[in-house]
Amino acid sequence: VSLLFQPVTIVRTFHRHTKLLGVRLEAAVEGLIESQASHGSALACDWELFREFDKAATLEALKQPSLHRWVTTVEALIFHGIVESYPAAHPRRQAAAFSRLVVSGLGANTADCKGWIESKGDCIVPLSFGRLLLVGKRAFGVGERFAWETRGGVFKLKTDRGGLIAEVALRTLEAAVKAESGWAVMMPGDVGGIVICPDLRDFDIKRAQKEAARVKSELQAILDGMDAPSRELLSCSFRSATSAQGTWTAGLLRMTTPLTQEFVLRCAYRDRVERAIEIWRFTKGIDSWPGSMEPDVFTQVAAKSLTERHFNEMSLELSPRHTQWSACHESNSTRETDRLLAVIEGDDIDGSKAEISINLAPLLILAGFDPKERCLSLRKTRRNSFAIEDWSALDSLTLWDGSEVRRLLMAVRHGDVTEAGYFCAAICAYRLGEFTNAMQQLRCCLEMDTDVEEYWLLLAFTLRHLGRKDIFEHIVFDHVRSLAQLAAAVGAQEAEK
Amino acid sequence: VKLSRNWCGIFRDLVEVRASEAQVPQYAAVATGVRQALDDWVAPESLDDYRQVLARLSLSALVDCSFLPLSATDRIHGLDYSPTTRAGGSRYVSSIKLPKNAVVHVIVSSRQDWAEETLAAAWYPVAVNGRVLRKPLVDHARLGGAFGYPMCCVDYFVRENDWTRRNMFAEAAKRSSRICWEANCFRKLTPWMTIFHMPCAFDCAKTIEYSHAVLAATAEFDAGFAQEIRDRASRMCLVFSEGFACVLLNAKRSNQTIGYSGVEDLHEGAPNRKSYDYTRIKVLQAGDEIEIGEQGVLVRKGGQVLTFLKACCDDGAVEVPNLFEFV
Repeated sequence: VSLLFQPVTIVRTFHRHTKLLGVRLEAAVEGLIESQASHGSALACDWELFREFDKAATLEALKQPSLHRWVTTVEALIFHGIVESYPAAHPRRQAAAFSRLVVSGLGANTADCKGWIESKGDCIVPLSFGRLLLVGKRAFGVGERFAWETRGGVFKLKTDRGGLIAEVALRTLEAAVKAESGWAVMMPGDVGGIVICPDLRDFDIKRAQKEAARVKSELQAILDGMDAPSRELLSCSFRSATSAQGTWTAGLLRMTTPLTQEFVLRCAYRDRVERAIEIWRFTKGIDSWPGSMEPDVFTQVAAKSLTERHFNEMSLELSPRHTQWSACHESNSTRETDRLLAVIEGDDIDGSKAEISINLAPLLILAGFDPKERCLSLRKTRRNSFAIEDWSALDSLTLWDGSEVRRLLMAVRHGDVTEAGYFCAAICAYRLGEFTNAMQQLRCCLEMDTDVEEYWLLLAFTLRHLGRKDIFEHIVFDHVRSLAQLAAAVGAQEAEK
Repeated sequence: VKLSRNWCGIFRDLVEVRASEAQVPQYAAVATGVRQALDDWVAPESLDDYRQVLARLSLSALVDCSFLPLSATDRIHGLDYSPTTRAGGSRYVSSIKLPKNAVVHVIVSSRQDWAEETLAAAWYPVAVNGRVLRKPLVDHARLGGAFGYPMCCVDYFVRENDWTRRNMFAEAAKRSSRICWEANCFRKLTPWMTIFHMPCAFDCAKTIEYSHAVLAATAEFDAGFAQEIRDRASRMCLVFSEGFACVLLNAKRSNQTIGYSGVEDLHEGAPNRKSYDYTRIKVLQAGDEIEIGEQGVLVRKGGQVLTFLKACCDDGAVEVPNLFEFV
């Protein structure tokens, strides 16, 4: 896909995110096409059609929340290997679902084309990115197909027997409603580029139309009263707004009744922050999260604070949300948070990771193993990091035969006095149930580097196996992270006894 | 607690003091030596009474730690790594009052050494200081062994259990030549269960033997209850994943289509359930026939399509719809 958009009117974060989304879309589609999941679906043809979209249509397509959701889901299916293990389940449905995304962007194409859409229990066919919806008013069986074609700018949807369901002029969106019984045409429309997405889960067209009209009129009133910067912000957001029953909108927040300017702006800011976080995670590693809050809380707090700042309506110092926001800023465990905030503002900042790794591969070679096949490493998690502990090396040993683990332990014990060597010996001993030995090795590790959560936590579990649950609790619950403090705490307890 | 049957004898006392009908057959199994130990969660204010009831079975309890409820605003790092446990962990101190709904995690056994061995490996992925603390994988194997589960099933669990990538039940079914009622693990959250572990196959010989032993142990205390368990164990189950299973009452199958007269939710009251699971149960209760495909289940009522229940693969667990007809 050609993604050389002009960045002139697009705020940098959105521009970068949109480009990134385009690249991710390509990888996701090609991943599905390579798997068995796309067999029997129209994915390959749909992808060819998508690639023929012009620049404006591609940009519009990439701004759809549904496309973002589609890409994220497919990435998860590929990452977890589900496209290989269970291709006929969810991956197959995702492959089929892409056809709707393609059909929704057809208006921009002049070339005549055709394809088909598969029911996934319901049937809603969006045109012009959701500005017009063809809705089957009943549930359909999974796999029921509907053929479509565009000729001379006219879109036709047909049953699999060739019966015409609906005919729509794509440029004007005038529907020549020749709808079969059980089908309806709905035009929820858009306001200032924000597409209204009605809640059609129960196929109640009348209620959905009423709700869409309400959202449209309230959104129009809000946009009329907005200043230029606010409009610019909204123009960059994912464009979608749905009813009170749905999840959604420009910022993917649940919509309230009635809509307010503050709410709509907060949605847009939320969208902006979410995109910044996605960029961050893709460029720095999926597990690198520097904030002192969970990403979704961070997003909410940031969106609220940015909106408050936008309106300048309340004292930021008095806002409890802002206190949290400041805490994020002032987190001294790592400067990564500041860097993330800079990303939200659209700047480029590179930073080092809070965690470092120990490569255990040389020890495998020492023990006569092929390190390529049995790659062991430790990501040293720092005390103030919010990553959880890395047991991957130890967990790998769990699947080894006991004699192999012993061979590695013997090789390491006699040949290595490095930190990696001690850690490797510790996990081997733990795996074999030699807890006294494991404790001694972990003590050596801690003497070399005291700020490694894996050393402390494995020491805690080791002591638990040695019947010292009391020391386990000092480490885990009291967060004691000094051997001297630990000895003192245990000593005090012994004295008390 | 709302009782689903009339309990009698020591079972009634166990249910009352624990305010739960779950796991009762497992207490019988520990008391009779079928298994070494079990773990359970008890309200802190009931702990003394609980120990007294255990003593009547010649059992005792070791305390692991307190499980504290997480509020909706608590944001914990690593919760995604813990598909079922959603709690904060803290040291249990009997003199310190715990918040409402807190429970104490205990290990129950007839022997101190067995209890200690089990306790050592019995850490659950609770949140401490804002992040989830998991135990190493090898301790899952140690815990399974200490509980007395068949080692083939423990090994299978250690190698294969991965909610985000694998559907354990679908994989175990593929390994089975028969679907035996003794290996029905879908009832583990109901009173009528014999096994708690996930079998390596639904015809696993060790599991079948273990299941019979638990049933016999239960019969020693309440023969009627044991018969109820047996009667229910063969009912047809519709299973999506570890998070969603139900019984189809009076089910009759014809190829991929199954007619039924009602639904028993096997995860009713389970903590941290997905909201769509409740919807699924409602829809299934409204229908009278289903058709199963790999992508989900089509629900009909009187021949008309009500809805299609999609199987998800991107929401924490891989769902693969399967119908289990036990023999």
